[in-house]
Amino acid sequence: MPLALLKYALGLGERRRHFPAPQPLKKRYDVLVIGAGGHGLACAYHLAKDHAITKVAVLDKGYLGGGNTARNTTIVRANYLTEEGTAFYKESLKLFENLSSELDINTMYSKRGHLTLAHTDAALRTARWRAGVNKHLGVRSEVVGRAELRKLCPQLNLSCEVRFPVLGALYHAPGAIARHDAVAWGYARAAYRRGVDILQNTEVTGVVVEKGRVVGVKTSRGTIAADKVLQAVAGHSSLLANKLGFRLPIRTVPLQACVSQPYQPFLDPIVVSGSLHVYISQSARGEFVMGGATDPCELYNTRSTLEFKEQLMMHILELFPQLAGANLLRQWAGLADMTPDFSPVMGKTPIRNYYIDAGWGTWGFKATPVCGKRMAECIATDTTPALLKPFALSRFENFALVGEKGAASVGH
Amino acid sequence: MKLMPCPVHGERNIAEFVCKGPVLSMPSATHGSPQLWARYLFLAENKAGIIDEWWLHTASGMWFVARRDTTCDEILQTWSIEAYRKERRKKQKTTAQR
Amino acid sequence: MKRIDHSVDNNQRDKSKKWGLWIDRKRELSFRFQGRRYKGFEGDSLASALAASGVSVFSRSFKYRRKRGIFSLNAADTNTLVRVDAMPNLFAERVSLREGLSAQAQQLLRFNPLFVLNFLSRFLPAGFYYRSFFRPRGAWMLWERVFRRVAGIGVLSQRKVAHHALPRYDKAYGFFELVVVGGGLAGMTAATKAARLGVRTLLVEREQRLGGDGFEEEFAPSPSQNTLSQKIPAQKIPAGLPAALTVMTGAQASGLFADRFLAVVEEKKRRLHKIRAQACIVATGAFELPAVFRNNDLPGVMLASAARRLKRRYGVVVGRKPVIFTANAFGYRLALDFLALGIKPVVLDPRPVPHIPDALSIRDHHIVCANGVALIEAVGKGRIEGVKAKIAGSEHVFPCDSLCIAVGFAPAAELLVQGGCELGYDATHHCQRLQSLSEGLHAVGAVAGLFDPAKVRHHAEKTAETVARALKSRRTQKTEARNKARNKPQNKLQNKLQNTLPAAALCDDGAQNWHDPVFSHPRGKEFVDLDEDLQISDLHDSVRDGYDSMQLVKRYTTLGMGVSQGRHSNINGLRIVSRLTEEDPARLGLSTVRPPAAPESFGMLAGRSFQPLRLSPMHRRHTQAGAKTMVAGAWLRPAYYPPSQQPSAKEVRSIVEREALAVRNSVGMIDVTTLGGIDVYGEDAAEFVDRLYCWSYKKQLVGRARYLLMTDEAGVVADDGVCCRFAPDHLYLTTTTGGSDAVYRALLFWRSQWNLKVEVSNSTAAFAGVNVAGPFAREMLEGLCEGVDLSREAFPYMGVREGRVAGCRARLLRVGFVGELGYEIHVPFAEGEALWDALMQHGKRWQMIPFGVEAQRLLRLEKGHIIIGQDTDGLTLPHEAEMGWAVSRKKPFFIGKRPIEIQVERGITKRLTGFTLPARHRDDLPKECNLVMHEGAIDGRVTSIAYSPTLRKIVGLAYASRSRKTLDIQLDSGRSLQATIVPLPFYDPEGARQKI
Repeated sequence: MPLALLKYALGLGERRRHFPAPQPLKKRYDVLVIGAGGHGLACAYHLAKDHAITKVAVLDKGYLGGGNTARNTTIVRANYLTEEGTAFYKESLKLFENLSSELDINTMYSKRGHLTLAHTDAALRTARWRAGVNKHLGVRSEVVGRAELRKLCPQLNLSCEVRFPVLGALYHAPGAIARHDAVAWGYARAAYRRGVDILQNTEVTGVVVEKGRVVGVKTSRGTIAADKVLQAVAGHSSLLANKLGFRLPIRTVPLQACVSQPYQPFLDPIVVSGSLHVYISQSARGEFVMGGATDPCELYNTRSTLEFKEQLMMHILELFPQLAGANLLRQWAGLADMTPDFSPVMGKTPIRNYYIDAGWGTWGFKATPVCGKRMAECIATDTTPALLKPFALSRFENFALVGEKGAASVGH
Repeated sequence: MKLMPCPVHGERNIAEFVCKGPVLSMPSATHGSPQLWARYLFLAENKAGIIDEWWLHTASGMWFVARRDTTCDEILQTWSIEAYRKERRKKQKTTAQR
Repeated sequence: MKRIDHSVDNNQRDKSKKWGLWIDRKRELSFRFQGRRYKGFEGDSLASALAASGVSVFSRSFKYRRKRGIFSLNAADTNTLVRVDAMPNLFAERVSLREGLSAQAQQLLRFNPLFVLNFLSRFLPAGFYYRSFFRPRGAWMLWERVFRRVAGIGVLSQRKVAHHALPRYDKAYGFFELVVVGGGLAGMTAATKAARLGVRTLLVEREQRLGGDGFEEEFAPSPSQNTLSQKIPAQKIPAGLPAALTVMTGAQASGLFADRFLAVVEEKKRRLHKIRAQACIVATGAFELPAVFRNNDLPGVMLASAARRLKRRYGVVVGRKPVIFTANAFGYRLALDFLALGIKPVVLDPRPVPHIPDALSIRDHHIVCANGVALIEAVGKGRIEGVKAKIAGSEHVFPCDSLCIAVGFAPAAELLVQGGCELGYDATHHCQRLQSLSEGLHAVGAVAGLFDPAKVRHHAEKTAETVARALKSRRTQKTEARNKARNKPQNKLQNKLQNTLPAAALCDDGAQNWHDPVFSHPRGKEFVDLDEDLQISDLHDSVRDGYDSMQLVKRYTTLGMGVSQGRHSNINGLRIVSRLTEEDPARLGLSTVRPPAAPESFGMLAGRSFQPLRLSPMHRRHTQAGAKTMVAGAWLRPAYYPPSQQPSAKEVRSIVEREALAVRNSVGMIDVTTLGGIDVYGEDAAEFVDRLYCWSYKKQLVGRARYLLMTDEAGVVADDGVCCRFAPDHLYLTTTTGGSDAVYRALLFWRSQWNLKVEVSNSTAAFAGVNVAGPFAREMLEGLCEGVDLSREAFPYMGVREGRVAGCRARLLRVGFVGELGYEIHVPFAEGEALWDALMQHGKRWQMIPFGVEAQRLLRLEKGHIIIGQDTDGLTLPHEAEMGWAVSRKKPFFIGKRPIEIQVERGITKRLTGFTLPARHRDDLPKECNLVMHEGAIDGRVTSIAYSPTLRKIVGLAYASRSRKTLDIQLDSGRSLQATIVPLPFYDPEGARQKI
């Protein structure tokens, strides 16, 4: 373990750059990935590793991992409502468990256990539904009552004197948190090592299409030709799609989050309340990471509001009154691409050789590994893998929405 | 707390309002194709720019239209429904005349 | 180590007593720190009182556990974070001293075993935790425990605290034309000027007193200059202030949100102020910047402004042998301050040639003053004992007990940046500067780059005048707009408030930033970020590893991610990275500034939990009858009426069954006040309802009720109820308890879309209601009704009438949710309790009992009636819920029509199915949402299930594929039960009992 540090200190470790320095623009690539977030970088990595496609470039208008990858609250879980969703995230969880070793970086993946609190009968019913589906697919999930909650999370306020007392919860033991930056950097470095180019500060201004087929992209630094292009630009997906003339089932709304000052270990599990629309976890640094529901209106702006944190704290203190004296350190927001069925959009588009990875709403970070792997497969073989088929863009035209909305609430 | 300049009640805190979404025309209920309906229901323009939206002032139960820039959240103009319809008719007239 | 002599507290105070303008030496306070008793004065902060007693170590640093003391004294570093009473993570300089206060450091101070990490820094480069600690698989889970223990600063009490016993914070609201943030020279000038010009102004000041850092003068009361005296205690508002000015001290603006909405934290009064301003003038001053050199974190090394503040406000002398490292006039003025106390400082200036005005100011005092100085390191064990510097190529050592740094400032512009203003790096003046201001925001004083008092005053007055003019004209514009016709488009008020940033050239030398206060040392420990213990080598490693944009540097090294959020580290970090990457600092940029600008406690933000409960007017009667209440949306409803407290689960089941049987066999009454009620009036009322709901209502007869099913635009079931026609132009619609608001909003929306003559009124809060159901219902009610003929012929099933019940005006609806002869009675809300009492009294003859929501759910289940939200979900189509019968096929239009058709054409695969199970399973019932399986795959789920005492078997509803004959239900335990599929309803299929 700290052997790596010893090696490093003695000058035996590697000293290469993790990512490429800015370089002149190349003329063409086999595959271009628009968006150097977790998903885009993971896909580039898998293209190189699984399919030996290395003439790949990942483009980003800013710094790598600077979009939603840098702003999410890093919860990883697989306890979804539908079979398609659960199977998808189950694979992601498996990949996450080995990710540190695979990428040779500490992703700080920590299985804390995930609790979705139920404050109403309806919420308990939904919890049971999810538990049933999860168990059927081999994902650990169970409905727990107040007595078990007392043991799983002793700090939780189970008093009946609050407005909506806790009745029980859906407990997902494999639920985890990870360090979002490390995941992005790990994929970036591993991809770079395999020959992938990462072009930061290179904004894609347009996509070149000829006879219904993509042939390249226009950037702020020039045009690049490509056989295949993937767009993975959460928060800006519709803008690109609109330019290309096809619509996405996406409404982009801000999703706010905040973090407290660092405190000694207090909370082990990740606690989510669907009824109160809040969630909280405590990071390795001791900071409480918290968030709630998305903002109500479409907005391409990551401004923070006072109402968000007032509402959030009102509910957080009902769950953990001991936190009344904790201090808020910082609040921020990301742009959530919300879809009507709370599920992503992956695979092909009406334009040949143009692929899409979008619609990640509040469920994107946890899908980083599986999305990278399977989208790479989709691009390399030009066939949508079975795991991704339910998430095809065409499902909306066919009124074949994924059933996640069956139990709508905060999905974190 | 953002301010919404309600066309009847003037500037009020945004907490008093609910947004329904962009102003859209509903396809025909008798012969609208599945594609048209899917587009109306699920496939949004999701524009980063100026859009017209339906808003409700919950305190008074009044629906109205606001023109908002979705990149900076600036509310450019608001209309009561009658005023908005007048505006649309005027616009259609001028586009037709061109 | 020298022991502090506690019998001589306050030994670091200025003996002449000329200084300490904020303290009252006649009011001594005693307090504790680390268990030892100290003394201070009224007006002290905890930090100043400790400094006065010679305490120099307040904490240990984050990574290397190095001793730390006062550095910025401005919440711009975490050295002074302490625990006070039970509250962790408080800045000692922000804590007002009071009698009996007890404070602790948050790390081990005297001896800290983790200090050994200091010697291992080679093994702990930036991002070291990313390189290791993850092999073998799962190792991080163990290491994380160690890191969590080490990383957390404050300790939160694990003691259970009752939510209702939390100390309460309040929220207060304010509306002002102008809010001025910061009560220093600039803020006070602007505020008093604006107020004198008639603008309703609020001045907000974080400290208990006005005056700010008043570097340049002792303010003397001078009406002609509109300045205020620092000597005036905060409680007294000085006389002669204009009436239009309100002053709030001890209040810090922590956030500036859209449309000039300010969050102001008044911790002492436990109040969060939410203030709307039409214009804001921000006068929050500037953060002094440190120099970076080896051991620059030793206790005793501090910023010149901290030393100055300690002396002027609190009369604390930071050292008897000070060294001042300065590249601007501030350091020289500090030198003069020391001289005034009879202390001779050493002045070291990095500028190659003496700066004339500065040099002149100290010329006659014969103190050591050198130019062209490059710092090498600070030396000392646990405290500064000397400074090593290079002057003209040779090394010198200056013994000292205090080192004060004055190398420049950065604007404290957080609020302005939150408000959309832009900051940029000015490479010519080597400082950060405001580049643009958003509408309605202004900056005066040090935050705008002005430090000279005459310039500050002039600019502040000019700004106040500009604002006053703009606000006046806006006032007239508003009145004119109000007088114009209504319904005209509301344009943005034309008069955009101009803002005036002083030109860069104006920014004077007084605050000159030294371009390179960074002195790297081969042995390191030159701290760029004290919070995160980041050395220059960490930034170097980061850039070398490829993390070379400021954002990546920040995330990789955690520069600026500590509690002080980069206030003292961002600029030097930028300068260092700029040098390493050979990139222009203006292009590199800085990380985004985010709220809050000051810590906000969770309690402060939460305030009082305002989540009102809606109660029916019969609520008292329910609680008196011992009802167990349940939450139903915003309401409380009785779930069942137990005869005793705390029945067991089995007892609850028999109570509910008993209530249900009473309804089946005699008569029962349930409070249905919570259901929504909407009155629709007008010529086109029926047409309107026809368009909104699935079935047909245009031909509905007066005096009749019809089932209402509402779907959304996508055809998904949204709500249900009944439509009652009381007149050709009057329909009364009911909704579910949770759906009334959404239904009302939808009705209002669609009404606004069509040109129909219809009015809609939400009458939910206007009516209370009961449902009296059972074979004796008619008999029971007959005696109490007036104006209504309750006979079967006159008032058939699904009829509606108006009349009086027990003297109350009532609407009577004969609807059949529970499947017995029943009357739903709606009366004015205020008469609900009287109605209930009259019915309960009268009903005694038939042994009528009240029944609750649980019994009602059982009764309706026996009839196969669905509950929206339980037997339907966010995607259910009417045909899936076996409600296709309520969907008209002939109507040309209703909301959801075409999508329903489209999806029915595609094929409905799942249907809501009735099933039964033998009674013997009643003690181990499947639960709602247990899955229905078929050949190893998920086929559907149970939505409702209960044991029916009337039918003596278990009945339930489940979603499953059409073709099934039996249902395979999987219980929680994994066991399966095979249920028999039966047609609905289970009970009284002809519906005879509800039609009698």
